[in-house]
Amino acid sequence: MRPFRIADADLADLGAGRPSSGTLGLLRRAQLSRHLLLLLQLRRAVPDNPVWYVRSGTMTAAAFGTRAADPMTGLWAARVLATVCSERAPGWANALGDLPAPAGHPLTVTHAGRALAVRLDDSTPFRHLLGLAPTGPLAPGEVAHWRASLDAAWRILVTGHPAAAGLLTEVLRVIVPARPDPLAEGVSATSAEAFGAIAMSAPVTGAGLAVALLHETQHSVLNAVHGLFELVEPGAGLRYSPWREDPRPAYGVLHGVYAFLAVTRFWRAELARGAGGTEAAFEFARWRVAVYETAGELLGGGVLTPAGARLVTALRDEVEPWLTEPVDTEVVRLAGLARADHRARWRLRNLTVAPDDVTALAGAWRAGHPAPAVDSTVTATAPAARPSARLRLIRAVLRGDRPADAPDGELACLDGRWTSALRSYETGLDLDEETVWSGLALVSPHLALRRRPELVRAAALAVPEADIADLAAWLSA
Amino acid sequence: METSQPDDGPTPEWRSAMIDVSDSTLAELVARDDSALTHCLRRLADDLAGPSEQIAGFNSAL
Repeated sequence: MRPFRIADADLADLGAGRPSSGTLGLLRRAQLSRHLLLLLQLRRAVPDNPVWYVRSGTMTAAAFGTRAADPMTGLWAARVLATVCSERAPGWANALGDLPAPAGHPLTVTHAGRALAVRLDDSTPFRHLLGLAPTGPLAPGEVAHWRASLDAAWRILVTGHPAAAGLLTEVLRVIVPARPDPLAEGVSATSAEAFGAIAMSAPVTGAGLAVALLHETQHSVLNAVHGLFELVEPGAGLRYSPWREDPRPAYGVLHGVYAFLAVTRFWRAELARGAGGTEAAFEFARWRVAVYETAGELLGGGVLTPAGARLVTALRDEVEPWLTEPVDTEVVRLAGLARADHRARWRLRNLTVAPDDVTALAGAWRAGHPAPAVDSTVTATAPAARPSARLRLIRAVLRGDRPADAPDGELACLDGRWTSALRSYETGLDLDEETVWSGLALVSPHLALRRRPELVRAAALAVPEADIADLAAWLSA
Repeated sequence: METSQPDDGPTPEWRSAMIDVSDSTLAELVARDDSALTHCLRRLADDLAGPSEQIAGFNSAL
């Protein structure tokens, strides 16, 4: 028994999202070790051999190794240790039953001689632990839909993304079908305790499934790395994440950066091979900047351990050359607008100004004094899956499907007609509050509104007699 | 698992506190009693008990 070791160059390749087959093999061994240690803990927690342990002793070494390495075994063992051990009752150990047997529908798809084999698990009782409400057992037609979607995704990956296809074959083992979220176009999730297992709603397109599989597999890989090395210092606060509506801990932000590294690489390759159309250009332009900037914020925020900093430095270095790759200038502009819109809406939803500070602001305004410096603080909110109406509009415009009934101010904003958009947002006609304030944050000439819309909103509510533009100018001084 | 600076040397490497037991059988591990294993189990228990970001989710409507 020796400690796991990883060469510095291999850790950097992991950070860049290009792990070698050897490194992925090491991660699989690490996960098998973790599962074995969890099972050892379970066995040691009771004086007598539990049923699952006795039965495991009757299996061949190969059969037990396969069962122990299964992602659902890790999920089961971690759950049992985390919950049942704290609620010991007579006989609980035997009540656990056996190790989970592989369940569901084996699916194998092949293209150009390369195969991907997964299990579509619609029946393991605790599959909800992957983080999404699972569907019930699938009807034959639903299994056929999954098979056809996986075949389409695999064809795209093998054809245009051979390295990413290779990563999937080495990591992905289980897909748990999940119920769709009515507020989302598709949802997927991964658990740290189930390396190689993904929960996701039924795919709509092959490309969408390919992106979701790459995204979630990145989470699995990062979870496995984090099982070997702490990547984030404890105690770091909640912060902005460009792909979430809610404030996230630093480790969550790191997960997002790492997952969207793969998403960005996917769209970059699609763009390069002339596939994906405007969508590929938009997604590439949007995420390359978000990944690069967020990696920089993590590196500059003092939240990463040395191993985490090594990983994220390599990630940022990987993305940096992508920033100057040519993309249609109009698409780049709309991608920047989408990023700014997300950040503005996030600030308006999740940042507040303390009541005493708001009182101080109002007093200074009414006294004709300069604005005092005040902070905005994060308020933890529940995750929300509300997609941005403005983002939907951007995508419609990119498709050439400009809706005739969209608000004039919104269309002016998308067109870059700032003066017209500003006038619409200032009057606020036919627009909800979030649209107005986030719109002002996009088109206002005042830095305070562009950078801290929540501050201007708080001040405007405290001094309703003030003109918003005057307040914004005062707060920008 | 704990993080350390990479070892100095011609090929720097990072050493984990996690030990490789992937070649062991469960019975072998049950029979074994050494400090490295105990240390690793304690860290694993802390890992399970501590706050963590267990679930990572993706909303394709973003």
